[in-house]
Amino acid sequence: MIEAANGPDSWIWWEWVGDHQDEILSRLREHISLTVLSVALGVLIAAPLAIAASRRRVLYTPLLVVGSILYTIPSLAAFVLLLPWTSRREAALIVLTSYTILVLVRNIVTGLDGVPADIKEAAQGMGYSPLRMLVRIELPIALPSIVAGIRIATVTNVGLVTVAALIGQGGLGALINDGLRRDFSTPLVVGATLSVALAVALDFGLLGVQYLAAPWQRRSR
Amino acid sequence: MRGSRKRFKATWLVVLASLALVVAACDDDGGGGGITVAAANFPESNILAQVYGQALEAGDVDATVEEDFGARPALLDGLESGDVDLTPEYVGALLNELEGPDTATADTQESVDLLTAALADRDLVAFEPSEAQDVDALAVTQDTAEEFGLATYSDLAPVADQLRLGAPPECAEFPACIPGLRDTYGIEFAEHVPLEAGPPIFEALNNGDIEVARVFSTDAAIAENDWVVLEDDQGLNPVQNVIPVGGSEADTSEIAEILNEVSAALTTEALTELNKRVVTDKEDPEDVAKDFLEENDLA
Amino acid sequence: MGFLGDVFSWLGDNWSGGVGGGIDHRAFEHLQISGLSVLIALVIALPPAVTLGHLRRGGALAINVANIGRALPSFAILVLALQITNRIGVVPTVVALVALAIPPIFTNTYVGLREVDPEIRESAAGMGMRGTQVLARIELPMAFPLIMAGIRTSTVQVIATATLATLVGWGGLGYYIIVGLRLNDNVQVFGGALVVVVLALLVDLGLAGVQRLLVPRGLRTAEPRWAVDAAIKTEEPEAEIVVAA
Repeated sequence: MIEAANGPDSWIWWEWVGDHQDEILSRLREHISLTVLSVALGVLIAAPLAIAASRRRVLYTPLLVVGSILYTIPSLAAFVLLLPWTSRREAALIVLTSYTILVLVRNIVTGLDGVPADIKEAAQGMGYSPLRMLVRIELPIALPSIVAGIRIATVTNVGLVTVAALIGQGGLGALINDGLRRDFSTPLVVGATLSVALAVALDFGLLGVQYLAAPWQRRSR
Repeated sequence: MRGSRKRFKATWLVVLASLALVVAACDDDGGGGGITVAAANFPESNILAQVYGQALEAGDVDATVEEDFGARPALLDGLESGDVDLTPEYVGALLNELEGPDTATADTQESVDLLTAALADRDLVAFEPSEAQDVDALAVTQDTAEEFGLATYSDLAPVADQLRLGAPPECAEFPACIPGLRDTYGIEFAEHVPLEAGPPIFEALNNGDIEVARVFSTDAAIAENDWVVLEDDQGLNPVQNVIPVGGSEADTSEIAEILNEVSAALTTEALTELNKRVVTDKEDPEDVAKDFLEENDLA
Repeated sequence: MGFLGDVFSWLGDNWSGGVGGGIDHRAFEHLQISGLSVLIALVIALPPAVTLGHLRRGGALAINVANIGRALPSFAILVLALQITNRIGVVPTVVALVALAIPPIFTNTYVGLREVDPEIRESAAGMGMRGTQVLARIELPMAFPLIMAGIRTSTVQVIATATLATLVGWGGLGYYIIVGLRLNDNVQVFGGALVVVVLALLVDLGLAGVQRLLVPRGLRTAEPRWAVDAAIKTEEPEAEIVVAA
């Protein structure tokens, strides 16, 4: 039986991968950049929101309701709907950051809620100001929950950035799109594999941070 | 207590370091100065954009090519906003988009004049058209043609409700596509199966997932698969010469000279060959464009 | 009321008719394929998840399924399904949606069963109940909220991801979103997205209603009102949260 030579019709045409290394790496960089940037912005915006929401429950419920509804919006639609008012990169960033905020606010509030009341009372008794208590007591205890939320948001965003390729934001989704258009499996497989690998790598990296933050918590039961 | 404080600090250090990385990694949007040549979201447009873009570069005009920018409406918006400076277009399709269906005619010069005027109204400019044409067409397999007795678009009308059309999503509202077929010929398909132009449609036609395929007259797949291209007997499709269209940034005599030279060298046969290399042989538009320019002494 | 007014006119004009059916037809299609995919995912994922959770084995597998499931980019899975099945339309769409629906269902079911208080299991065994009886009478009812949360999360994600399937030749409500994208027609995009959101919310509320009906009063705890809430429980890091793709 004669084996078909490795070429354009194979699952991965290795020559193409070699020739297009620069493009592949560039797409990977674009992808990482958009993911990390949106998560970082999400953290910066979600933190004060969540802290306020945990203090005043009145804020929290409407935030949750709005957030839950926003969750059901298909990401492609969300990207496209902003386009009349923003540039394409801005639209992608805004949507990705918003999704991050939704996840993080919940996790931060839940984490803060998990601080035992007696610890807070003891701290108050010792004369801690609210700010000091937040920074020295509450946030450290909530940290594992917060990092867990960052993990979830990061992994999810890696997937969403592939969709952003449909509004021209490049990244690994551009390879997938090329594979779709030209019926060309090589960029498709490369793009898909790299995005899964990226998500898993970021997840494990952040898992390490989670352990750093709370090694006393047993992970698996 | 001390151990966990160290860990706590370490964690925050990692977080801060990551944020610093993020700021450093802050990608700026590509481009910058120079002419942005944008292509529509199908391979042939990418090829043409590369050809024109690289010719400009060779002629010492700073140009950036953006492939797969979007469909025609997105490109027009881009031209008006200045995000796009130049795009390869097709005389008839663009004219009908701007001025309404049936504006373009079977006469190239007439249509080009109408187009130039329509573009001027929008502060846009057209360069010289090429003789190369790419007409939108409908293709069926030999078997389907025999079964339903199809040779022309008019033959389709009575049986269209038994047939599925494979065409890009935007065909739903493109003047010469679904609306035009309905208004001019009374063709209403059973289903519009949304597929990207090119191989996805070719595969679907071969697999029997669709009966009628929206193709380009320059698609090599037509000859390769021995499909029947139906005749547009009532002239729904106007002339479709390739023509570069640009905004004010591109409106210089220097650029015009380079573009017109390229357009003059472009033929329908050449375009078909370039398409084949990109779509069937999976070569890059950038590479085949380079070859074309070198072969024609335009690089 | 300009833009919204346009959207409502569009909804009215396109409610029925048109090539391939109107909004009503596409919404129904969308619902059908989502339901089918979740059902298939249930058939595939529930038996192993229930078995492993009951036997308290395979924790590593559950964690990996959860991680990989979150990491799967829906756009890539869809196009891969296209290439692998070599078909367009319903087939690759269902394959991709099932693949995406499995992880939340599997993980939540497994975790739900494992979380059952060991003391309760022991007392049930002490009362003479056999393994399968403990499973059916005690563990499954107690795990039910988490299992339902997984189903609800899956369903919402499937409904949202199905909007991408227009790219592989399927129809559904994504048709309006993608045609609108190509034509720079935001009224259409918004209209399509609006119908999808309403559909997803109605389905989620419906499932919540089903959950309320099926859970015996004695076991009712503070039930999460939204699928998304149910999925994020930081005490169970393995529980799934997936965002609409």
